[in-house]
Amino acid sequence: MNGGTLEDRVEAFVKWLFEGHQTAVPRSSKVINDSLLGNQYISQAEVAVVDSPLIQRLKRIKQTGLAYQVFPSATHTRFEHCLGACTLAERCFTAIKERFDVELPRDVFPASGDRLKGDLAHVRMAALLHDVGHGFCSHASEQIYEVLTDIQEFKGRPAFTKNAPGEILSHLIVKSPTFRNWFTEFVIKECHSEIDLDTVAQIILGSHPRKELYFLSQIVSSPYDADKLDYIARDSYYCGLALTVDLARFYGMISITKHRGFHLCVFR
Amino acid sequence: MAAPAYAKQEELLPDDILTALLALAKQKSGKERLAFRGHDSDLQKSFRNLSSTCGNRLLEPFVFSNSGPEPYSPVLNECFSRLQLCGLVGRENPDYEVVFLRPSAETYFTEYLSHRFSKDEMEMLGQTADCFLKVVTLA
Repeated sequence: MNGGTLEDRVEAFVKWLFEGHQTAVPRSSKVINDSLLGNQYISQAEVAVVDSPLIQRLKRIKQTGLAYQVFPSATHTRFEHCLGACTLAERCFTAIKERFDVELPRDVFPASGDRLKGDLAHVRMAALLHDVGHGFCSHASEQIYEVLTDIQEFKGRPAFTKNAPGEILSHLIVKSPTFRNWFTEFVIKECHSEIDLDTVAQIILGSHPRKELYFLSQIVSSPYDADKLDYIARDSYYCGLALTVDLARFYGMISITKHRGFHLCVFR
Repeated sequence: MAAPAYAKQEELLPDDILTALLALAKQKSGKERLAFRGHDSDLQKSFRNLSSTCGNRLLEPFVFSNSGPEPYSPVLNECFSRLQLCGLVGRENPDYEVVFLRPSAETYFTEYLSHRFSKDEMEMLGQTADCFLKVVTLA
């Protein structure tokens, strides 16, 4: 795994992860109960991804790194965080759509709310996969590998300059040939999903190939994304700290506006 | 006097380049105090213009993201924050949207930083400083 480009090494890692993995195609969608968010509805295609070694690996990565040494109950993992981010991404999407439909009833909402193959499916999938690039102890190890020269080289590219190393790795993992082949065979063919992995990989980086759908990437990666909504609530809950996020107000205020052809998330 | 510990550092960091650029711009402006509009969006726009009109290898570390509606350089943003924390630049009350160069930045540049740039680099910096004064809105 030592030689080659960063993409080669990421591919070698994903290959190693999937080695010997027997994929059982899920029979249906699932409802997963979460201590924080309650019932979470996961589509058949998402269940396949959740059951894959990529997401299962996250069960071994503590969400708050070494914080459990000080806050003993902070033993929650990246796994439940990714499921939570997926659910909250849909809640953000729905809140934006509802507000749009009320304020601009004659306009057509730019994104499709289909949970199986539409833009919503892409946002949910991106939220589910956004942290697959995390290493041991989460952000604690990120501080080490962000100084690696090939990560630095990626940070020097305009497309990656605003991204953290974990996001860059998640993007590369999603784009790796092994994962793409597995996804095509089991998610697209077997689960009849129409999700485009390139779009998912773009959303993870906080961008979108279509300007009018840019706000979808902001739901997953921006200063006020579903990721933060989940981890602020989840980390405080498991650490036993009384931090509050007024989600009702958040969903009531979030909206979109057009700027230079881009639809952007705003609060008003 | 013993050389300061930081004298061993050889690589030029974006913070060094930005400090040198601002100090040179002040010298070239002939003003007693260099102050300019420094809201985050102003700074991003000014430096984006600077890169496109007067781009050279010293400005290469300030990479601009091309994925959103406005080009954005996180490195630039972080550099200004660090320079402010170090007391090399300040922000004016009441809205903190005017950035000014503190005298400590000039001293740091003349006594230490300027020796770390080669003759070519100083020339490049001088040209960049001229461009900077054109693209920035002086306050």
